Amino acid sequence: MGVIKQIFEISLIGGLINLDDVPLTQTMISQPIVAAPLIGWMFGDLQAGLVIGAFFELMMVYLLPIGCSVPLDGSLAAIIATGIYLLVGSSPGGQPEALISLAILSALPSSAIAQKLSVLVREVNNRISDRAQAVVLDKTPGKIDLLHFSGIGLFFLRSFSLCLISLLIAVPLIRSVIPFLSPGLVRGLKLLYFAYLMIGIALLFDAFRSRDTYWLFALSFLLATLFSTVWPLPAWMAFGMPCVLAGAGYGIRERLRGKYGCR
Amino acid sequence: MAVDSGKSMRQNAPCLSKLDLLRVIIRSFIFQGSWNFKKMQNVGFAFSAAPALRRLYPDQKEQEAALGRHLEFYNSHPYMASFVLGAIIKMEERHSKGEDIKIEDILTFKKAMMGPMGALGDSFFWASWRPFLGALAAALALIGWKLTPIAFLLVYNIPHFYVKFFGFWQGYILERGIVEQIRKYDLFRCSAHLKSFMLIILGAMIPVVIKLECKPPSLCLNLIEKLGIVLGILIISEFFRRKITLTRLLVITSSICILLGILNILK
Repeated sequence: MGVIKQIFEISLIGGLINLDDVPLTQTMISQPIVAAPLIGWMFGDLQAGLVIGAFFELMMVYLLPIGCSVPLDGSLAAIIATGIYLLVGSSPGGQPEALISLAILSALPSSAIAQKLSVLVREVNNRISDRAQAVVLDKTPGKIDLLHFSGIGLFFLRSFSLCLISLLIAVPLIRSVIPFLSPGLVRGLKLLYFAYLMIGIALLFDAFRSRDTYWLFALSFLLATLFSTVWPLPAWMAFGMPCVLAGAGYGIRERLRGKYGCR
Repeated sequence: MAVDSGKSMRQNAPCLSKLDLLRVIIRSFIFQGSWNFKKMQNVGFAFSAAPALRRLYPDQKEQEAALGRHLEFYNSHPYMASFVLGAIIKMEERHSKGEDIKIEDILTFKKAMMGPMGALGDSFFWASWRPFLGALAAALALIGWKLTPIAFLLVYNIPHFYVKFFGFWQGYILERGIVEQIRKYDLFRCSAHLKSFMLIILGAMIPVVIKLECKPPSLCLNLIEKLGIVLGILIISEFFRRKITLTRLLVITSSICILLGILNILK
């Protein structure tokens, strides 16, 4: 009963957070890097939320909602994955990475379903648009506000119900499967953990690479390798120093280019 | 005579207070509430402009006409639309006062601005600013900095709120002059710089956040492993270049990893 209550709570909060994705404010509370840690923090494991959020952020941040396109819903998937991780509780073989992979894997289909449901919501919203024009002609323009809010309500219903159904199916299923996972399969899931990370980085690398800036990638990689292996620094410094140094190098080059007009 | 009385009545038309403008700005945060395929953000535009239009046109018929004309097709970037919204409100205010501005001028300006604003917003906010901060935040989260989500929200929303509030105000003050003002921001150049910084972050992220268990932990093995990871990333990015979708790649990768696990190949 306690788990059902928690599933309901996560779905309710997840549905509200997900409103920020399109219809409400768009302050990016719905981004996986915020939404997943928020759920994690509320239900007792911020660290897991941070990791799951980071994975989804890398994989989904460059799926752009441009024009009519409706991308995969990484936000809702991150919320569901965090919910699964938190509610399943025990990791297979005592490996939290394996459970994170399993949670992400289980939540990925819901990002595609959420995408389809978004399309459906927008098609229903076509009627809201027609109705808005009708209420103006009917001399009751005040109803436009109500119609607009009904679009928000519809979007919430989509997020909440998908979250609820996904968690109701996935949590008991994974709980029952975990004791039967072989050590080999746990290792496979651990490998998947790194594979997700690499796919996320590769996706962004592909989106942002250009011949002109390969050197920046190489320079920061070499510096970070240097600071994490030859002169081991704390992780935040091993990451921050190369960013600052390569950023300074880029700044100097840009200034020289501006000054001498050279390419 | 009738025209004169009409004009003098219009000159006494109500002005918009700062509170009215603030209500429009606050409503613009729900700009995409009923986003639809048919006319996209039309209801959102009318909903946002409604408090100002109701104030400007106390006459029921004029109010209905004003709301009706803003229910036409509209699609732009939800943040950058604030510039246009500000300018349109000002133009409506001038029109309601009987100044020499036609409804066609208002609608033409709205239509002309929606495309460029959409392109600019999509290119800067969606395709540069958000991915850049997203990648940075992901790296910091994986390093273990617990305040990452708060920092992400605070930094991301600086230009967002700037555009929402100040952009709207600039649109209201400058009207058509807003085009020149936006050009000064040079958002395309900012996007190009952000994309370069993005590569820096990705490069620095790999050796720090991807930690495979190496036995024994020697420098040579670590370096080879890390170069191997870079090679793996380059290969995966080649898949994306060849138009393999993320969904398909995730399915393939997951299947391979699980299959390797089931076959007990991984040691």
